Amino acid sequence: MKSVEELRKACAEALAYLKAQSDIADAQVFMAANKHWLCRLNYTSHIRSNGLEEPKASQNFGTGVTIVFADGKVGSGSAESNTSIDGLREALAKAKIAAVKNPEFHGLPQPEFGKPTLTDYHDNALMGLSNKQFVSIAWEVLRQGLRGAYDVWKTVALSSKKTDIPNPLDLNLIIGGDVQLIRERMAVASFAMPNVQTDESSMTAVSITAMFEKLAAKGSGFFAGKTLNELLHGGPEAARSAINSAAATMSGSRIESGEHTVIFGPQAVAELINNLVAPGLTAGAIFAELSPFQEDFGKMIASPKLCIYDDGANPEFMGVKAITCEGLPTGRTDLVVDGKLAGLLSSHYDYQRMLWDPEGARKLGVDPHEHKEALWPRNGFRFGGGAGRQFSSDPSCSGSNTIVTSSEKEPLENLLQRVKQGVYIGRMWYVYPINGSRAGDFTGTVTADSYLIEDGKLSRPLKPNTVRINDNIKTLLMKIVGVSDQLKPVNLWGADEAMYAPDILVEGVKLESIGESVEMTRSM
Amino acid sequence: MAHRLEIPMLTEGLRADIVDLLGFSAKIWKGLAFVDLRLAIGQGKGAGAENMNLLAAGDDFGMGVGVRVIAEHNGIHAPGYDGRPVGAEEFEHLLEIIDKMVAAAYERARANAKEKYWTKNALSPVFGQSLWNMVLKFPEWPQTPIVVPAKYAYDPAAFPLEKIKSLAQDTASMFRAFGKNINYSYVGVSTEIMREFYANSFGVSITQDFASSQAIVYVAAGDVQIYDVLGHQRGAEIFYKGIHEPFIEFQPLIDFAGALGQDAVGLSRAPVCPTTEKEVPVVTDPHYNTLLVHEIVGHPTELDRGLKMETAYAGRTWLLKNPSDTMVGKKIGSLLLSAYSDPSLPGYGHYNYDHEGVPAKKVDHIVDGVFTGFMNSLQTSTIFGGEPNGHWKATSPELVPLVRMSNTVFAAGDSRPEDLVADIDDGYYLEGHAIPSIAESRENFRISARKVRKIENGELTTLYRNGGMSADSRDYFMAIDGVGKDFRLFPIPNCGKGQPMQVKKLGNGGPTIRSRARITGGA
Repeated sequence: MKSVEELRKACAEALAYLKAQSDIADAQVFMAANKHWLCRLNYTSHIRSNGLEEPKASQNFGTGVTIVFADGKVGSGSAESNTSIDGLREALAKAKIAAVKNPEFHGLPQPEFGKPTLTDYHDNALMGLSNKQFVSIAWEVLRQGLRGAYDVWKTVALSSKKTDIPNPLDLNLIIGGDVQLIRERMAVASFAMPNVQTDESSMTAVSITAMFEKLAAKGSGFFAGKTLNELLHGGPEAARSAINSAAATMSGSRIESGEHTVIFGPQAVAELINNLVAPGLTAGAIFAELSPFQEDFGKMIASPKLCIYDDGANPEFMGVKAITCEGLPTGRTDLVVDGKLAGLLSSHYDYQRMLWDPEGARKLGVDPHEHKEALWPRNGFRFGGGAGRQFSSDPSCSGSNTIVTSSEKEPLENLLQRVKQGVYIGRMWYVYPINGSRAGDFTGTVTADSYLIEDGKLSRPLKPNTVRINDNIKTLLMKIVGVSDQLKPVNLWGADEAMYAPDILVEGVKLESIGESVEMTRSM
Repeated sequence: MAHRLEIPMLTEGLRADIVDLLGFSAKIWKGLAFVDLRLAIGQGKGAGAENMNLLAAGDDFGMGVGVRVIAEHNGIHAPGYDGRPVGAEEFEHLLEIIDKMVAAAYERARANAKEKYWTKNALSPVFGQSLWNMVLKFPEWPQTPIVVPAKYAYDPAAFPLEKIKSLAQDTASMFRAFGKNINYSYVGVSTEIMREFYANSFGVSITQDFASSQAIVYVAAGDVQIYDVLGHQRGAEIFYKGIHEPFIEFQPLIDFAGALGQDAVGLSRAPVCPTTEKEVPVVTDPHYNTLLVHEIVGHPTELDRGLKMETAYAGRTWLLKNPSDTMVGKKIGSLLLSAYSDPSLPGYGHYNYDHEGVPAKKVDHIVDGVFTGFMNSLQTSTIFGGEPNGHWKATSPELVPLVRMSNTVFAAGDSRPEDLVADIDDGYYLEGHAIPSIAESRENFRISARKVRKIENGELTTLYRNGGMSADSRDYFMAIDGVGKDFRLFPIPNCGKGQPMQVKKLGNGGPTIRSRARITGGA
């Protein structure tokens, strides 16, 4: 993997080369090196399996350029596995061929957005992990889950109610998920910001799903961190959590279709925010008029209980980065403050075109020039497939650390006590804006970690895969009546940003009982 | 030193050297039982236009390599993988790079085998029992190198980028005619050619070339957002001439996009679709059924889901509880329902060999309402039993393949599609697919349609926006009482599966179908 110093030196040389070209008016050079390790787990007690199914790694490095040519055309190009001047020439040649006159491009980033505040926040031990060590950690995560499952079986076997489980294998245990590690290094410089800026970060995450399939019980465990020590402790703990959560949801019940009071757990909240809310809180979505929050800047888009912000510069969170892939400092953007739409995530390209758009004030609901700081480009990243910063991609807008919270947080117990009869939804999936992002209609199903709430307490488990939610995100946000004070990291499948979410209490959520006929067929 | 990667660079001689290298690696590395390699080299052009302005364009090339090693320790076998892109200037060192990748994958496989051996013993006789000694049941490999050429009229490697830019720009400019009725539009056009090479330590050498051209058109009018894809394994000729084949029919790009614009504007003036409390008769057209079959037949018949390997990600399937308790041989639908996956059909799901060199075969999933079988891979067919049918595919060689659809379709029936509507007094007609949401084991679905129309006394009447349908999969299958003979295939450009996520092109389709479901409208 290329060192930061190698990238810095190559980036400086590349910039000098570009400055010497007479047909170039402005340019930015971006170099990156990434290594993504992922151990995918798949253990099944009732089907032959590998345990550790895929110990794998992919890596890349290279050069990307964005060039503003003297004739006003703009083009991007890249060179794979090459940070030399030859690689730069390859990227430049591609940029030249690709160049177009884009009337919505209004210039590359300028040094007007402050300076980065973070340095040396990565963990060298994590950056230097070997193949064998990583494989060993993944197996230890799995073994911890298996030990936990054995403990569960002993409890179950001792219970007189479960005499049909004479052998642990009869639980039909499934442990799936992954242990992953991303190491990324980058360097960026431009004519306007010629001093090469570099960044180096590492992140690690563990996501485990456990099932006792015979008892239709399913649970999840997550870990997100930045250091090897955190991984060594948090990885196995995530496996234990998944097993314990699955054990707590054995022999679940169904519910009737209708409107229910619901407490969404952190994973379910993250799923709602990541798929339905955050994409609409971007300058790009407002520009394209694809946001459910068109013309709503400064207005209440949610209950006063809800706050959402993104903070890429906060070292407490897994997605921390010092600078964006446009060479601008990361930082905090308040998106929703006490229910009011207060800011948007933006890349520099989207920031510029929002300001230049003659329809900008109509689309946003206020004049964007009077709220520039709320649109500052703190989120122009070149993410791709959850595997680091991609030199071959143009920057686009993405969250870094997205935090869901409240200025009136309260303990989860308080939220529970306010519910006489309701549902705790711990995990959802396939939550999509079913009629397009702007309409706000959405649906999804409840897959795990869920319970019925009776008289202020979690009572019986909810059977997985028996409930579909059919609602509208704009009305659901308005019906939030409480937010818990616990903030948990959630690893979302296929997402590049880190999400931290609490529990949220919502009244009048439309739930539908599903899958009964298939269930009856399977039990025949 | 190369400054550009081109498909002919992967010569017959170089491919033979790679095969030799893998065979040699199997001999020299202690405990290396099997190694195979996937390599792809591609050239492509693309352009995108947003709101009638050309946004970006590109003329690029790329190459990627993926290696799998199965190694043993004390008789226990386990896999290890490595993947990476290869740059133009590295190309002359390709054999050296592959050698290092084999070493890295081997190191992971050996470490994996050691840990598996230790865990199997430490946790035996309980949970250690089911840890599998990964010895694959291989097919009969082809004895001589296989070469499959691509089909196209306009060679994607030689097609001028300027023409791709013009296609995007001209198509996008057409939306000007709609004035302010359209708030947003995007047109993306691309054409590419890819050479995929598979080799393994048994001396197998398979080379397949694929051309692929695609235009994606996205239009928003009011709160209506619709998109569609024109695509095929052909050259850019499809944009000018359209596609006119027995199962694939598309108008030229400009007409295709214009029709979508008209739909968007018409829908923006239509009322929001109501929601019905109970199931009603529904007739769905081939485009809608393309997504329906994808979600409720294709995905649940992927055997890796059946064997629970996707429990943490894409989900399981209600068709298999465990290998001795499956729905194989059981009735899951009406007599009129048949469905299958067939890589020999044309379109995005066409190929001859999958990404572990297994010949691609047609798989019957449902025959006359009875469930008959799964798409599989070498690993899943070894565990579950049955012959491998060649459905282990990856989006790019750096990534590890998974069981993926080829062309998964509802089989044609013998009704005229118009007759399926004419028989209904009170029902709905769903035209064109939009967005899906499916339950974890694919036992229930809600899928929105581009357009919903009321059927009254056998006639299509009111047009609705933001509507779709929802049902339990088995109920829907059992209630099918009419299947059209208008079988069509469509491209699906963005099927997501895997960790990290692999977004893949594949084919789906079917005829018009009549069944019962609940109509789901907007808020």
